[in-house]
Amino acid sequence: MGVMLVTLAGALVIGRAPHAQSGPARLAFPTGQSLRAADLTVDGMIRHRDLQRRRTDVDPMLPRRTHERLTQYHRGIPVYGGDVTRQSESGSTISMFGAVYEHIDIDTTAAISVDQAATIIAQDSGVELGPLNLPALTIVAVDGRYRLLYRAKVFTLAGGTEYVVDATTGAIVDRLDAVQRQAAVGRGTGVLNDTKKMSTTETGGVFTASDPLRPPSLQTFDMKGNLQRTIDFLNNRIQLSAADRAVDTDGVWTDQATVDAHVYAGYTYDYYYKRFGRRGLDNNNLRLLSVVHPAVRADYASQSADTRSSYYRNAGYYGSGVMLYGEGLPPGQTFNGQSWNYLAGALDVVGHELTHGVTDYTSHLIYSGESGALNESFSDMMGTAIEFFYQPVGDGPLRADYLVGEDVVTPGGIRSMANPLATGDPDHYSLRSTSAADNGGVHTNSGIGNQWYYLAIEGGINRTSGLSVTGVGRANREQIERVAYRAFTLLMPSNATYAVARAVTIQAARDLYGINSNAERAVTQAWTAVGVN
Amino acid sequence: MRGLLAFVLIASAAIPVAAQAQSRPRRPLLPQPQQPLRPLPPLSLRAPVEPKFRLSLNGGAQISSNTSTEDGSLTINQEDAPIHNVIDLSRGGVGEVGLTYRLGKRAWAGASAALVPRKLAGELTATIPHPFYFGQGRAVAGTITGLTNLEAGFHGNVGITVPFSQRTELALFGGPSVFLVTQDLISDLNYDSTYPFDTATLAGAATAKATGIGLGFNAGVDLSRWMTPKLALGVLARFSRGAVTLAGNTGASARVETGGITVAGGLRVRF
Repeated sequence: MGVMLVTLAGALVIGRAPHAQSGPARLAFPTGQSLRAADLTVDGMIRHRDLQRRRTDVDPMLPRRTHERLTQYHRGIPVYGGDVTRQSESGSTISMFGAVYEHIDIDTTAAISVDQAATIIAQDSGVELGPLNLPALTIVAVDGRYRLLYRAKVFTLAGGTEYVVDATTGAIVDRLDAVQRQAAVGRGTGVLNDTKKMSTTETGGVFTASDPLRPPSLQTFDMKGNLQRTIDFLNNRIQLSAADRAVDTDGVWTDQATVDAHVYAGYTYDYYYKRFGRRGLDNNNLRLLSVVHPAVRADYASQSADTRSSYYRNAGYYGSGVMLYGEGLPPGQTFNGQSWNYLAGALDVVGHELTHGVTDYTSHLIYSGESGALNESFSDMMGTAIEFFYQPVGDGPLRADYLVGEDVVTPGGIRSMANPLATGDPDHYSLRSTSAADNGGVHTNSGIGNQWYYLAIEGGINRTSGLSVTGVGRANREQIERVAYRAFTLLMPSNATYAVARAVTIQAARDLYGINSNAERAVTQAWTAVGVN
Repeated sequence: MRGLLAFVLIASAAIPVAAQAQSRPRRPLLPQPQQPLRPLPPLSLRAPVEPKFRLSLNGGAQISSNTSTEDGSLTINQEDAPIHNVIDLSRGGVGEVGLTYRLGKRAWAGASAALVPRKLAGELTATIPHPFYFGQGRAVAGTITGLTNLEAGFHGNVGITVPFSQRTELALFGGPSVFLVTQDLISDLNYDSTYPFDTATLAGAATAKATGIGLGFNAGVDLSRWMTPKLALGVLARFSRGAVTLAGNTGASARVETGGITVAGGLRVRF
């Protein structure tokens, strides 16, 4: 039996497997008739427990509305990519986005056990999985048929990998980059000697980077360059102890990476709270655990290329509220002509990583292909929004701009939202990467969404299409921030494509600012300008 | 003090004279026991002494437009927290004691001490720095009650007495004043604030006493009605003015205006 993907956006559309993300990508705005039909389908699936509510949220922007997130299951096993969001008000469905699979006829009895799958992964990766990281069964539509697979994340010296193991044969089907992080692209040099306030805890004259004032547990850990211990922690093989906490003896913190990781995590929490009323990554004050100094800077030259990329020239969100910030390069050394300082030193980088956590607990955009590019792009958008929230507009260190990571990767940062082409990223859908590398070019194709965000706010002309956009203007940038936030946290399904993103953001703009509002016009024009129709 | 001693000496010498004047010979009903004759005291050759001292005891009120203005800065959340506390000192009860010495027929000199104890409220405004961000202080304002202010005025006077009648006289006087003030200054702030800490509410303040001294002047009138040769009821009206600067232990300082219009009444005793 072939795979039938039913995409819900008011109209039932039969499509192809989710990895072929060029399937029924464009979603028409819901019409009354088609939305009712989709609603009935979803209700029927809920009754049969083929769709299960992952969570229901009260709309923080429109209090009378609620948002359901529904995950597809087949005989109790989650169906990868089967995901629906439904917006309701007073029992009436307002909008619905997402996709579910039909006619799943697979035997859900795994031929190999969880332990066997863990052994297979351990043999391949050289890492024994911790008890919280054991493989989990999932049904995936692959190559036009359904397969029962195990998935598990492993972290090694080379970085993070998500293993996909066939639950019937034990074959390793795929290895995906498991870390949602800043891509190691950029240029520059610079040291930021700004003074910040640290919310810390004092015990017996020792100050600990543990924030007692903000609602969540917000702590920063100093791995002191112990790379193996860092990896063991990421694999849940060890728990960090009090000895791993970043400490200071006089309350005047001098470790720059610790200061910025700790302070910027707090700033990001504050931004989400003040702008959107959100309480942390899961909206329930999930802990924020920042890890700095995962490796020794001076050892950079002797490390493998993967280790350099993962633990020196990168930052990553590792799930469950854990962020890790790379050590940067030793002074005087460059990579691709850019200097790399401590990755925690850039507010937009920290905001970017924490936004991955928000995405994880909301739309859970699948980290590959177009949904992965959107995942990256929304992180760039929020990271930049946070910069503009706290820093004065301008060029140079500690200034808000549309470069990503420019405060620590100098010159130029790692991506440009105003001109993605400048950093080798597409600014138009027609230029998107189709390479399988980087999980399908998630850090490259994010340029399309980034350019959309820039144009929707600032306006201007897309360099590739030549189309002009009238943005909402800097003074109204909050409108596009709210549209983007609403889109990726409430309305967007995990399998969203750029076409879905267009539909969802337009819906969000209408929800918030009304039909034919300036925000809707800017959103629509910007998508058209970047070639997403 | 020397004058007071002289008064005591003179008074003790005068008493036997008066007693002698009252012991005239009389005819006893019964035979009296023979009493030894007492020697007569020496006769005073001085004219009757007009008392030179006058003691005043007054109670009343002090009215003014005085304020205490405290400006300072505490350190909160790694930043300066400016505070500004204004106490209205316009009213207060006064207790006063004064002593004058007659220099001539009408001229005199004297000194008095006036105490004005107060328990007042201060209108406090402050900016409390944000715990997370520099330069994002939260403005707070509130009334701090129970602040004590003790103003002691020491007034030196010269004056003249103008008799209106045999029993009523008016005294005009003026001179320098010294003010000693002990007052509560703000030493810390208590405030309520919850996440995201963008606003705060003043809940109270801790205080510490500070003492200072300052100079001023005074002038006034005193109207007395003598009920007996030595005892009168009187009314006093005095204007005084001065200022004291108090230094707190947290770097705060307060400028306290002192004095005002005192209206008081009480006893006058001549001796």
